[in-house]
Amino acid sequence: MLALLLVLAPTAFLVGGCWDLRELDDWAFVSIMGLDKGAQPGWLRLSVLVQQPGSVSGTGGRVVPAFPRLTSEGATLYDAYRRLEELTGDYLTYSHTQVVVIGEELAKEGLQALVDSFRRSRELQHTIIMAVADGVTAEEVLDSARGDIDPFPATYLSHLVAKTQAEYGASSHRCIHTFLLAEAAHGQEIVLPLLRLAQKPASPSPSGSGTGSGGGSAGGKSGGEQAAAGAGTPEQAAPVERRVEATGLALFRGLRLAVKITGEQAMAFNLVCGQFNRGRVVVNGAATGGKDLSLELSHYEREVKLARNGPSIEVKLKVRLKGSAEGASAAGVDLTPQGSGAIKDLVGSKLTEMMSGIITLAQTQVGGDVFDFQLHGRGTFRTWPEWMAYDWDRAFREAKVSVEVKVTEIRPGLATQTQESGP
Amino acid sequence: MTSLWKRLRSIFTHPKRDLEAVQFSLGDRDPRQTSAAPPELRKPPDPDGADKGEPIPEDLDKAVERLAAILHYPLSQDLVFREITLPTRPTARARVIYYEGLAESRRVEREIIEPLMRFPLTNKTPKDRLPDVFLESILPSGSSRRAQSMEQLVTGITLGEAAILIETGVACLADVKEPPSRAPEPPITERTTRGPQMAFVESHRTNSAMIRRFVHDPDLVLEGYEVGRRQKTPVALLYISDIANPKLVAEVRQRVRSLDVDGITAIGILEQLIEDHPVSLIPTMLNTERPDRAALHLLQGSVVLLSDGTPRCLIAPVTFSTFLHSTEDVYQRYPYANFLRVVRLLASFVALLAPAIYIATLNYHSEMLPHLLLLTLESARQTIALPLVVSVVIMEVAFELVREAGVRVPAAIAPTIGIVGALLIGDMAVRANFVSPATIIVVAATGLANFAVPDQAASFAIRIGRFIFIALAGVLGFLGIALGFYVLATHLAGLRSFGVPFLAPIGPWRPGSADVILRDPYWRQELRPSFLRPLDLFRLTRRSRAWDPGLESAPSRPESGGQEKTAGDEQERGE
Amino acid sequence: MNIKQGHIDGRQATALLWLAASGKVLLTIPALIVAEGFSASWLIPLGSATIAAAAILPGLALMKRFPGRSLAGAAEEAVGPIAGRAAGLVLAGFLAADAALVLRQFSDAFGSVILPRTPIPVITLVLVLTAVYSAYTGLESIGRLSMFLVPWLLAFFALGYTGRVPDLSFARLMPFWGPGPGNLAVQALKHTGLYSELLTLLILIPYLRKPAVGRAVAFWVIGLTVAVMILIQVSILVTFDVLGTDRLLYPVINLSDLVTLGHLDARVEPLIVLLWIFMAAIKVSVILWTLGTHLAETLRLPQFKPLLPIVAVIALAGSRLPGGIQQTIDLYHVSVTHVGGVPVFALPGLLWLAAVLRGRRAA
Repeated sequence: MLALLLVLAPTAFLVGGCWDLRELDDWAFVSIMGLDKGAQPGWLRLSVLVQQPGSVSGTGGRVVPAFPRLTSEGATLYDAYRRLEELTGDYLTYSHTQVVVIGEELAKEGLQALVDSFRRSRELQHTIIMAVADGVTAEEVLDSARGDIDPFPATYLSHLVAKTQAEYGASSHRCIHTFLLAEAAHGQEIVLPLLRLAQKPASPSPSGSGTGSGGGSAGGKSGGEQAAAGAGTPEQAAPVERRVEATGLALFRGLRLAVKITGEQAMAFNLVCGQFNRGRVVVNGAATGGKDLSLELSHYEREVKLARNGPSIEVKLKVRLKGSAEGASAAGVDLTPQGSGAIKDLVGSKLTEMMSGIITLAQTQVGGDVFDFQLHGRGTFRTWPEWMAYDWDRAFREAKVSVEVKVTEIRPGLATQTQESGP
Repeated sequence: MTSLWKRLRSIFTHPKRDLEAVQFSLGDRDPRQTSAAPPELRKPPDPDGADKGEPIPEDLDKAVERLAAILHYPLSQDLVFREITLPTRPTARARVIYYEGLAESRRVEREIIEPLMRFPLTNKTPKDRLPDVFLESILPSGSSRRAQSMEQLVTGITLGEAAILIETGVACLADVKEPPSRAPEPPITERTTRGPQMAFVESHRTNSAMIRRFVHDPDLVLEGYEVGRRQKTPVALLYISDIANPKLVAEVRQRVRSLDVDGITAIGILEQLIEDHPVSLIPTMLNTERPDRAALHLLQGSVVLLSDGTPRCLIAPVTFSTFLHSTEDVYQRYPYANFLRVVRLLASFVALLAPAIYIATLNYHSEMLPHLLLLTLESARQTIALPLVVSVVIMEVAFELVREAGVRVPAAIAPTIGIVGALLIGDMAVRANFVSPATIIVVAATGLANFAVPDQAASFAIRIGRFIFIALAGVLGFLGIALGFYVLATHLAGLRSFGVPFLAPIGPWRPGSADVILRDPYWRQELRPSFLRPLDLFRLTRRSRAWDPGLESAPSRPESGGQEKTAGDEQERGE
Repeated sequence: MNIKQGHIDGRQATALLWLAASGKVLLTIPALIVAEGFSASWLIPLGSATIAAAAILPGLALMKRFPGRSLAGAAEEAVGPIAGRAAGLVLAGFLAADAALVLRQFSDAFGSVILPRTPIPVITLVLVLTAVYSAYTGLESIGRLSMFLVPWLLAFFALGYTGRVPDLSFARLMPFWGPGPGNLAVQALKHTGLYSELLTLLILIPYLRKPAVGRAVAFWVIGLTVAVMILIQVSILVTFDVLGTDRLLYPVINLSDLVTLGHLDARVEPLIVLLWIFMAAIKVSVILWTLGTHLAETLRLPQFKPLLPIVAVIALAGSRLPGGIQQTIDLYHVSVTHVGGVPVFALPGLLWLAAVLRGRRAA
């Protein structure tokens, strides 16, 4: 009897399992997820780019993978997931999703529908980038997410955002985790990177299939434009291709999009909130002889001092940077230690102006703390209930914020003196 | 209810199943207690009714007749009964009995028959002095001795000695054995780049001589026993008497001599008969073919067992780290040795868990893979018809087939088997869409890692365990692997090797010189493994590099050389 | 030749109890503590540890008063056979509840994190079978295993801390006093059940090679456990903040989801999952061993091993009683974390007091 039990038990154990077993080819891996407003009020439109298997070659000849797009709509995100599953025989999984794009309209309406789904999702990695589409739908961004060099749309987008933040300071690497953190936190507002579609004329090719520069066409199909253009003759107008740019930031008030900032405003934002790494600024003044001087900013340090006096707060922001001038010799700018002092002051005042401007914009147009000053403010409270009872939003709106920017060094990017021409 | 309780009790507390009913432990008493005198030999019953102490008949013919009956002469045609007439006055007859092939015929002629034929004896020699006269003056063989009983005669003859019977009631045995043997050759399975290139041979005397070549210590004791009623296989127990714990020696001795079997043809049988956990996959004795390794373990306080007829020896006790060590570790400088040990440790994990982790990751937890790797693996698996678990099992079985065939294949076509194996496993399987290239890589890496495990028994355990983990991974993914590993670790924690916990010195923690996974430089390894409870805990002093003024001068061993207690002695002990 | 079978030394006891106690930080305990302690929730384990270190002393004194006796035996000596057995059964009931609720939580956690489609009872069964085998091999094996696993688990743990986490800020530990100093003290008192493994220590004191090290073991276990708890609590707070943690079920697993190692595009979750499973297995093994041993001693049975399948079935059945995971968590938090201080500290303390007042001592 015991022997029978000892044989049956392991056998039952071995053959009874495997509820979670799925072969790799049973899965369809979602690469990018896009969320827009649905056709019906309150509904969501879910678009996903799915990695098409069998299209990656490791034997030398580079085969570009395909990323077909699937779309569904549902009353909730889970409803949309379910309806999407009905479109394919494979099991869709979001465990390798790298980017979530949210359409501008949905962002303006509010992201309440996403919070709970994202928080509870075991598949979605909370380190994946969340971004807002600027002026277009997320679906259009997905269709245009093709890099000229990088064949993987998700990698292209995530690297684009990361690089734009790291090298230009014009974006911000925000992920689901930071989204949820800001959503839950007291006195903190959500900030997400902005993705914009820029149109560029594509150079015609003999095949007429509309490529970008370089000739490596991504296999994925965009909206009808490319196909339509491809069917045309070389004498017709060159097909227009759109590519994605990470150009700025979307500032939220609560869960609704309040303000979009781009370019220098985005860089100023990063300078204020402490997420700046490198960036560029162009100054023009008496110190530059009336010419534009471009500087690369780096070695960023920030110091925040926050003082609270009852319901009001005072913030002192000190920023230190180093600059590296580009094209100084061509511009004839004096970057010797004696001459660079004026440049430093010029740069410092410009940055101060930019940062003060973005702070004012946040106080007036957003009305909430997008800079995470609340992290410094909560240290002035003794207990948590006191902190929770404090109206931080109002205090931020009425806060007196002083900015001091000091450029500690300007390095010449090129020689400070032009070479004398020959005899 | 009472009967249920009794039934449960009987299931879970049977002495054989009670894992905590330790039969033997080295204990926590002072290990320096001296051992008592060895107990009396326990002679196994004599075959064919030759009782212990059956006297040898004084009548030559009766003695010869009795021997012929016991040894089945003339049925056994390799038995030689050589009749000689001694040049005595009056003449006396003698018989020389030996097995042709076991005893060297030339030595029999030169050392026994010729001296007997030429040496004159008179009847004035007292009869009771005759054996002594023969042994002292006639037989030049160094190991000649007097036979006291029929049993001794029979045993000696079967071991290759020559029996000499003279009609005056003299019975002697002369050691002229020259069994089929070979010269020591380089090791086959435990090769090293540095160190001696000698392995054991079938003769246990030669083997013990090889060990003595490394350990020139007069305290190296070799106790000899004969195991088996029929075979009477000589078994030698070696230990260094002022290092090895007497309780350990006594326990090994007792186990060997309590065996009641027909005989042991190889030392592997002896291992199965005396090891603590014969059913476990995990070996608890080390089986090695290297005499230098045996010598190293003797110097640590272990005991070594040799068996005639097997070119290997057994070493006990051992712990888990022993199976990750190679003799090479001692001969290499310690950074290289540690590097190799880390490689071996990784190899052990890879060999045991790589296919299981591969299956669990791809089938259950694909989110753990990096994105690009996932894309590549997914693409490769699109055209594979078989489920991943089946693919892996097929390839593992194929690998085992090739490995097993390789053991028996004639040397002339061994390269062919290698090519066939490579083709079979690799290229054809991929082309036929049985498996993906990634599976081939995993299986091949697993196989290579298995070969990196220094001990063959441990390697076997890993091979079998691998299939268990594949099954667990196929059913429960990572949870199955983790729980399986936990069960394995629990099992290891419950094992003992001659009283020493298998996970010592980590679990339980025992102080000592670092030599578990990584080792200290040799000149810093002052202590012998304290879990062996050696009589002398120190093997060198801190001044072992006395010429080097950079090392601290205060010795940890007292100058008197007495056996002082170490800090470890004050710790809790008892396992 | 046989000496003290089934006994362990102080180090093994410390390792075993420490791993068992630290296992609960991998469940919902961090989130529950944050809900009560807010930004100062890391101070709660510290306060509880201080109280536990003092509160365990009467229990240790009780065992010292009756050397060689089990806790059940000491209870009988102190208050008589009937009351002593009743006290023993109360402790057994607490251990059974602990076993059932821990089993359910771990099963649910593994189910939702690792194997979402596998039925929870299957996971529970597999976990229980593993734990029964481990408990069956005895205290020595569990102790050696714990010693063996400690460096590996610490290595996994440390590796996790070498990774990067987005948006981490130590300012989230502010305000320092959380709910206020008074409230913190009350919470610390309420959470002495975090160290419920000290009851296991009292039960295994007779199995220590030197029972006198029991006090040292207690302090070491408390110290190491509180170190782990503070480290985990601080890590969770600086990553998720108070209000974010409040919304998480298994914060440590969520934390491991965020940790990435350098440029490796994979998470360290597998390492944390392995750590989790090992600690769960040790914890359930220890609980089952403790329950089996204590029950055998209370009922004066000569062997505890035949009781193991019985207690396993009790734990399995008990784990199915709560209607859902939320109910399980609430029950565990109330019965073990909050109320656990009573059976673990108060009851042995009362027994000691009774023994002192009645002048009972070992013969």
